[in-house]
Amino acid sequence: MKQITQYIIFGLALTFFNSCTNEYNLNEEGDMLFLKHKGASMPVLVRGNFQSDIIILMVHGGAGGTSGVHIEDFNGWIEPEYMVAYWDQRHAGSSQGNMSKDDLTLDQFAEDMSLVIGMLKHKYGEDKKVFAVGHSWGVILTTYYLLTQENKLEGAILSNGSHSTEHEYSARIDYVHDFAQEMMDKGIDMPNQITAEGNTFSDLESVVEWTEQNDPIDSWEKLRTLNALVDAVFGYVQETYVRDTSDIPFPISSEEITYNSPYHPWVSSMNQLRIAQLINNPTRENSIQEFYDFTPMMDDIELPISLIWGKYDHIIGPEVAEDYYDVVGTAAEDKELIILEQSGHSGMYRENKKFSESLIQFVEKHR
Amino acid sequence: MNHKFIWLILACLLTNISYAQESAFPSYQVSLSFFGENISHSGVRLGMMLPIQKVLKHKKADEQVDKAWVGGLFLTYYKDPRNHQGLMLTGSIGRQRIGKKGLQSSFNIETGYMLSLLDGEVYEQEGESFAQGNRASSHFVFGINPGIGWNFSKVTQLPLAIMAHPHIYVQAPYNTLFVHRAALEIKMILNLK
Repeated sequence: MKQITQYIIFGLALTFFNSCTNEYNLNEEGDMLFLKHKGASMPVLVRGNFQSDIIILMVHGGAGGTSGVHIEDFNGWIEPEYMVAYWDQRHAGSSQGNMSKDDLTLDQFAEDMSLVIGMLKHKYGEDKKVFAVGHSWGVILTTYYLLTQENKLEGAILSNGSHSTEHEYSARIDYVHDFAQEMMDKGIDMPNQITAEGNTFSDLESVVEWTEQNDPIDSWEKLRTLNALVDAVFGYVQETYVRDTSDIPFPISSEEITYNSPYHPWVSSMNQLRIAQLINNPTRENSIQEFYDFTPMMDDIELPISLIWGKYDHIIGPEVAEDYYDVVGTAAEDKELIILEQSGHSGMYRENKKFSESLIQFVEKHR
Repeated sequence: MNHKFIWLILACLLTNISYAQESAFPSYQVSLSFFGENISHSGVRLGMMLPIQKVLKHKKADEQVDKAWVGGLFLTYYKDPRNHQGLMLTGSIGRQRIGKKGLQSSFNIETGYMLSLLDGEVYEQEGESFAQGNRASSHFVFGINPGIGWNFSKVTQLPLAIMAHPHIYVQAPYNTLFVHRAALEIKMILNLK
């Protein structure tokens, strides 16, 4: 009993001392703003170079992710240059409030984004130039914002998200098909048997055959099967092509985020679970980010766009970026497509230096 | 059914009737605690507890174990920097046990009101511009907290006890449902006869 008590005291002391480390001063540096709107209290942490006339607005993924995890992505190279606003969307990250689930719509998220930009200009000056950085779901949201709201952005940097699920699913099918074929050619076996929608896949031949017979993806059943089959090749692709460590100059520890930041993992996970249940769950066929297509409206978007894409993304492959580049109405000299050759879905983390340099070049060109 | 209910109420209200020897439980307890939401979001907690329906048990002739139901009222404040500040007014009911050598344990159910204040600059849309927004919101809280510690009155006659209480509780409404929270309380109890 005495020994158990000692272990408990030692564990608590260790946790407490961990909580006292202060690598980033996330609880002190910069400004913490909240936007209250339609029941949501959305935090926007603003850090970086407050002398700059540029504000980079992080539009995180999910839906239901958090911008807190991106602080380390921007801290090394981008924060010394510009102000960076880390916005947690409604019902995501450390966002608080008491809202109706009926307000979890794409239109509402886009309206929130417009108000966040307005609030930043109100607080820091109307002459500030705001560039959005959308990642994953953040690309869908930023694109929808540009299509439906009065634009207040100077430009958008988009990374591994989508404007059309037709292209998204097509890229995912190619990912599974091509790498399954490559594994077969190299004599590599499928790591695990996969069961999806009542079908069992025991070898790579059956995976390749399914992808050839089920393109395009036009039903929830096919989508769920495709998502399950990604596991057949994901480990191989990561091991073979994706950089195994990041080149982030100042990594942020999980203890720092957990104990010394406004980002509360318990709260974030609760938000993520609930939002998955409400609007982001393909197994319940209620995801607002499946089966949509902005393509017919993309010609309306004319602001500068930089597409910075991880090449080996198992969710949204570079074919989507190529199509985005082709269909967006932006003039050729104001749009660019940059491929991160050693990254998957999170290029801004894996190849942080290249991502950051590309972002800074784009902003400097279009400021 | 009605008779059972009346007897239950009487049993809770009538104290000190089920033993003849002096109990280690006082008439009142007051407490001052460190309250750490998520451990690191530190705060303070004041409490007043009323032991009711005290029971003594003698395993051997000179070894006395004390048990009681304890009702409590607590005022708690903590700060989660740049997230929120919490002010809670809660009531609890729980079971306390003081062992023969002073090991004290308890298990409590707690519920009440929470005022949450956003910890930052709050803006709301006002026409075409923005105005300072209201930081406050009201919530219901409900949770449990077991506790373990040492009661010094058994051995040293000091009217003090020190307890550690991990708390698990929910705060509602929170977004579209509730949020679960955890906290660690280090409580110093002063026994008032």
